[in-house]
Amino acid sequence: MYKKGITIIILSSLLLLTSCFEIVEEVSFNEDGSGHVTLTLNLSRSKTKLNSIKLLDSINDYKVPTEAEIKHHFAEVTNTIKKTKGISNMTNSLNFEEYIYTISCDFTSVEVLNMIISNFSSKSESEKIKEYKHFGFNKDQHTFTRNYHYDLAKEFNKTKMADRKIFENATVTTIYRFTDPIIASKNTTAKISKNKKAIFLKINAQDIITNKNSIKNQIQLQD
Amino acid sequence: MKKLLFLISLCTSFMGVAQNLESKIPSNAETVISVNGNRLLELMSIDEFENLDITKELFKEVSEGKDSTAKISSLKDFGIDINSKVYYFYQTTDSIIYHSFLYKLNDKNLFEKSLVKSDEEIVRKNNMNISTKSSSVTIWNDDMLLLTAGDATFRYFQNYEERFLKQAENEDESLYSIQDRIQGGWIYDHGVAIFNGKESNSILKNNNYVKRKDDKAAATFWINNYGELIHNTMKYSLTSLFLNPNMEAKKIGYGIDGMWGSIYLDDTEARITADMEINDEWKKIYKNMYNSKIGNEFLNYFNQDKVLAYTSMSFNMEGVLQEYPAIVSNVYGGMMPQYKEETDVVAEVISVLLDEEAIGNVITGNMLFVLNDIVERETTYSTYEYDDNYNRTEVTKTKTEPIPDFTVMIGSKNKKLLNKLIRLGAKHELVGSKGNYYILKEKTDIPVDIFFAIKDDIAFFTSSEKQMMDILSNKVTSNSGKHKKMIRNNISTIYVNGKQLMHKLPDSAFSKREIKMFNFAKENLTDAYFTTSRMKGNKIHLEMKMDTPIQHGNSLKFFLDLIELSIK
Repeated sequence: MYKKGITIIILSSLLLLTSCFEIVEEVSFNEDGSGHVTLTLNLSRSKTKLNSIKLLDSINDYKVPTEAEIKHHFAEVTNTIKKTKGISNMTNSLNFEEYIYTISCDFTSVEVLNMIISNFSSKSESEKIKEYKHFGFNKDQHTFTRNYHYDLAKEFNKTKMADRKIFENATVTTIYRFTDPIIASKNTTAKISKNKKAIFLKINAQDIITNKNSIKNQIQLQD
Repeated sequence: MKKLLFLISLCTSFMGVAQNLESKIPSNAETVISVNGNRLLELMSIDEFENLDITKELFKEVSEGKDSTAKISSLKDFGIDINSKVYYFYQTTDSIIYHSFLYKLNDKNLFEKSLVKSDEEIVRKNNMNISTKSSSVTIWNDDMLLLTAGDATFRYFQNYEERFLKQAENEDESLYSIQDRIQGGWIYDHGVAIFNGKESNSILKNNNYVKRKDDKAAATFWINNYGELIHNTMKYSLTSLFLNPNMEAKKIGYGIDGMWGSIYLDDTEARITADMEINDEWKKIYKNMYNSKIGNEFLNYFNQDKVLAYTSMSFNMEGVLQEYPAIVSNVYGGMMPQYKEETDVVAEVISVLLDEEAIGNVITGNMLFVLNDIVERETTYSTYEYDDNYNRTEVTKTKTEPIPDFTVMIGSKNKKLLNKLIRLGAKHELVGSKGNYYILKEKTDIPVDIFFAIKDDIAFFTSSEKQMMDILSNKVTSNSGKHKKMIRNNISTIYVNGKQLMHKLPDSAFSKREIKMFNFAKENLTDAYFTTSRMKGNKIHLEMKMDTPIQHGNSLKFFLDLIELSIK
């Protein structure tokens, strides 16, 4: 009881720390539309808080997963991706000290990426993904499109107040690299690299959730 | 009637005193809660209460459920006497739990107009107006309103299934619907009996209840027998499936018989008190377990000017271990009498294996945890930097984070053994020596170093190296002030210096939504205490006290201001 009291006091002061995380989506395309994708979830800025959460059984009514459970879940995810036709050279890393999780692989076309997202979605969501392709690469028109169909503001409003705090300082970054130079991009927040072959977009999760901005973009490449 | 329940749950605060109302509470009530309207009206006028957003919301809720002609704009519109006490009481039988509320009415017509639905069927007989539902009954006359709700246990109906199935109105009637119908009848009879109750059978004839009453309190509660209350409630809960129905009421509830308490709302403080009466069987156990006192040597290292919060605990480890078999036997044996022998044996074996005195020497049972400060500490994190072509490089950056600085003192009389343990720890590189103190080398997830040392029969653990050096060189200013009594005279004390603590927390720790509450807390919070006294006679006294700022008028207004702010 006493020990619990002490733990609660120490933990509650640590749990007041802000949560912060970044998601980085990095895709490098080859000329034929195949490429390499790396998805990174970096929670390192919140590691003190996560270390404290680890000592709890649950937080905001959610069970706190153990390292083994995270590993198991991660393995399930990577296995599903691995099994997708068109995926190769799959690698992944779990850094429990810094709380950085990465998955990367080669793909034969963007349709494979759409298939992966569809595989992790419900049936009705999968249907929508077929319609609103999350990734589009049109070789004839030399365009690349990043899209999604979710109404994140609506989903966000369904969440509990305590959960919303998590997104206050989170960011989402997308980096796309092409063999041809980029001429234009529809999302005005995106920045084109010096060599014109990469495009970078970093957005606060809060802006995505409130529909102020998004990672949606249409990129025009040179013929 | 749904609105009535809503009103009762929200508006219990402003109802008042009437002896005849209290006399309707039956003598077998297991729990009685009262809210003293008189006291609340002394603290806040009706106008002030009606101007609160929550009150306006309540009026709107009730009005919306009514015809457009019956708009509620004042507390008086409910027809309930706001200068009277309101009572809640709880009763159980072997088959049903009853919850009842009693109010004084001063305008029956207004009550009916505001809270009774126009299509609601009201039976008017024997000077009673009765509205029934399957699980509740509402009865009122010109002076009094009673709401009784009941919840029968399905297990009881299952136990006597054959008997109840015979009472089915048709072949298809299930046991559930039989229960629903029969329970409705029980609740009706019960409500009418309370409404027409005679003073001779009233709780006011129970001296144990009468002598615990305190009319100066804003609210009071009284439990006739805590063990029985838990016992009876357990019988109705899911837990009952795993428990023996013959479990002994006296054995569970940790020996607490009567329990009563009050809420006091004054100009600059709010206080909740509770007293527990310990039965003879447990009295000896408690005496032995808490036969200890935090020594003055702990207070040599306590400076009230450098405390954001603390908790103290004083029990006699040797006594706890000696009483352990009795506790196990009483609690678990009481809950599961069919396994009493087994639980007794297990407890006894543990007792044989443990050397109570030796353990009691290593950890005496006296502990003091002090949150000294919240400091900004630099921590590192990994993030990314990008070159002109957005190639990513992982880099390490630093940031500052608020980290608690704390000291834990644990009483120990066996320095020799502790030193042996430390040497063993050092051998296995779990601890590092820093001269006359040590550092925990085993990496913990919390980003604080833990320093420890043994001095004056106390094992010190602290996150601050400076604090450790001050302890060892007697540089800690001993200044326990008002806390000395609280720490020494109670089994346990929890104290929070709200003002200091709030000022130490960074704004960044709160979301935009939380920041207004945080700022309110920063401006207004002061000291808060929770103490558990030593047993005096056969009573243990618990008290929770919070100082409230005078600029709000009084503690009631302070809490209502806080609630108003939280819902905005």
